[in-house]
Amino acid sequence: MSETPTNGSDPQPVVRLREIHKSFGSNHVLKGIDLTVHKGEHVVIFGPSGSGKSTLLRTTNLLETPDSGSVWFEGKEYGPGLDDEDHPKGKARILRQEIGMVFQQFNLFPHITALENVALALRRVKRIPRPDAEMRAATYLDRVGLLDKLGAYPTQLSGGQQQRVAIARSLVMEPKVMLFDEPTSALDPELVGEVLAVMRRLASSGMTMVVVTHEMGFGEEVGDQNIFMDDGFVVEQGGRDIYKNAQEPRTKEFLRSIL
Amino acid sequence: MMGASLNGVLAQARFRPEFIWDNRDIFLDGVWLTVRIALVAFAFATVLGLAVALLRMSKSWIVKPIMAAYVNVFRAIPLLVFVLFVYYGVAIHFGFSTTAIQAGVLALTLQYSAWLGEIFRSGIQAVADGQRQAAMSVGMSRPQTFVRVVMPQATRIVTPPTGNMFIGMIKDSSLVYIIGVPELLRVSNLLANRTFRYFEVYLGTVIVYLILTTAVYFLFKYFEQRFQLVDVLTSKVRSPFAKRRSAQLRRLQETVTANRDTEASIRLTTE
Ligand SMILES: Nc1ncnc2c1ncn2[C@@H]1O[C@H](COP(=O)(O)OP(=O)(O)OP(=O)(O)O)[C@@H](O)[C@H]1O
Ligand SMILES: [Mg+2]
Repeated sequence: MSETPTNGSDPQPVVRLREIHKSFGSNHVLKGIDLTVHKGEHVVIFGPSGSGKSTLLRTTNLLETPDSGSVWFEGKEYGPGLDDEDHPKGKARILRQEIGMVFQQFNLFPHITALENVALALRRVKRIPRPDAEMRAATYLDRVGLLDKLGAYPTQLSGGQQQRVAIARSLVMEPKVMLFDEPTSALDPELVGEVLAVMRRLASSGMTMVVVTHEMGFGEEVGDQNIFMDDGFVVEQGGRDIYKNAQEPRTKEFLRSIL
Repeated sequence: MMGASLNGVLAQARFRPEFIWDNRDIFLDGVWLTVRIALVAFAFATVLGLAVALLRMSKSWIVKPIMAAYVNVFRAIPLLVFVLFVYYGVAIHFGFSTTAIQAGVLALTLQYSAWLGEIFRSGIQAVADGQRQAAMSVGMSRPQTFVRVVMPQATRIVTPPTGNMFIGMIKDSSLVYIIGVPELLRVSNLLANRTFRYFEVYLGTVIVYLILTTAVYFLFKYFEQRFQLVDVLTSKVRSPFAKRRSAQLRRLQETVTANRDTEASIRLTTE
C-alpha cells in the first residue's frame, strides 16, 4: 500500500490521481493527468469539448479503468499493475459508494419515482430496509427542495428538478467526494440557477467537490483549484484569478471563446 | 368413395353455419392443444431467448460468434422444414422416444428463441449507457444494475414486439399439423376431409385463430397500459395499491416536515 500522501500541516488529500493515461482504441484521451483533491476542496475543471474532462471524472470513480497510472482514495490505490492486496476484487464498488457523481444528462431512472430513485442504492447497496431508506431519501429530497415531488416520475419533472433529484440520489449515500460533470449544460437557461444554488450551498457546507463546468461564475466563486484541460493534458491550474489572469495563451483563448 | 365425393359436392351447395357450432367439441380439443403448445413453446423460447441475448452481448470472442451463428441459422430455416427435420429427420430417424408434440414444441422453441433473442438484445442495448453509469456510480454491482435498472426499462421497450411474436407463435404453431399433432389445423383438416364441408370447417378455423390472436393483442395492450407512470400524490388514484402508497408518501412528507428544524442547517435550497 502506498504511503498516505500527506505532509506537515497540509489538509488531508481525499483523492489523488497519478499519471493517468487512458485511450479508446487509437484515441489517446488522457495523457498523464495528476490531480490531488484535499478534504473540503472545490476543484473546477474546464476546457474544450473532447479534451477528456468527462473521461477524467469517470476514471476518478473507476467507471473507466486507467490504462496506466493510479487512483488513490482513502488509503487505497487502484489501477493496473498494482499489487493485488492493495485493490482486491470488488473494491471499485466500495470506492463508488463513497464518491458521488452527477451527470450532464441527469440519468435518473425513468421507471421509478423520485423517491425510489434516491432510495434505490440505500436499499440495494447499503441493504437498508425500505421504510428507513425511504425516510432518508425523503429527507434528502427535502434538502434539495423537492419534498412535494416524492411520487413524481422523472419525465414529470423539469430539467432543473431532475438534476436536483440526481444530486439527492448521490448525496444520500453520504459520499466523501462529489463529482459533477457539466451539471447545468443540458438545462434551459432559466433552470441553471436553481441547480447552481444547490451546488453553492453544498460547497459552503464543506463538501469536497470536483466540478466540470463552463459556468465561470461558479469557478470564480467557489473554485479553490481551477484547472484548464486541453487535448488530454492539464494546461494550466490556479486560483480564482485564473479566469481573469490566465497565463497560458490556450487558456486565454478558450476563456475568450466562451464569454 | 365416388358416391361420398359426389354427396360432398352437392352438400356444399348450401352454407350451413350451424355446422361449426355442432362440431365445437372437435374445434375446442384442437384449440386447447394449440394454446398449450403456443404457451409452452413461448415460455421456453423466452427463457432461452434471454440467455441468447445475454450471451450474444458477452465479450468473449468464442461465445459471441457461436451465438451469432445460433441466431442466424435458426432464423434462416423455414419453420415448416425445421419441424419436419426435428421430428422425422432427427427424432424418428435416430430413434429418440420423442413424441410429435415434443418435437414440434422443440422446433418452435428453438426458432423463436433466436427471434426473441434479437428483440431482447436490442431492447437491452436501447437502454442508455448513462443509466448503467448512474447505477454503478452509487455502488450497485453489475447484476444489480441489470436487474434493477436495465431490465425494467428493457421490458417496456420489448413488450410490443414480444406481443407480436406471441401472436406469431399462435399462428406458427399450426405448422406442427404436418407431423400429426392434433392441434387446431390438424383436427380441422381431418374434419373437412371427413365431411367435405370445407367452407364451414375452415371458416371455423379462421374464426378461432382470429379470436386467439385478438385476445393476445388486447392482453399485451393491457400490459403496455400498466406501464403508464402516474404520480399517486397528484393524480386521482383508484386502485387500493395506489391509495395505500399515496397515504404512505403523505406520512413521509409530514414526518420530514416535522423534523425540519433540526435539519435547517443542511438544507440546500432557500425556499
Ligand atoms: N466510452 C468511450 N468510447 C470511445 N471513445 C470515447 C468514450 N468516451 C469518450 N470517448 C472519446 O474520448 C474523447 C474525450 O471525451 P470526453 O467525453 O472525456 O470529453 P469532454 O472533455 O468531456 O468533452 P465534452 O465537453 O464534449 O463533454 C472524445 O474524443 C470521445 O470521443
Ligand atoms: Mg463531457
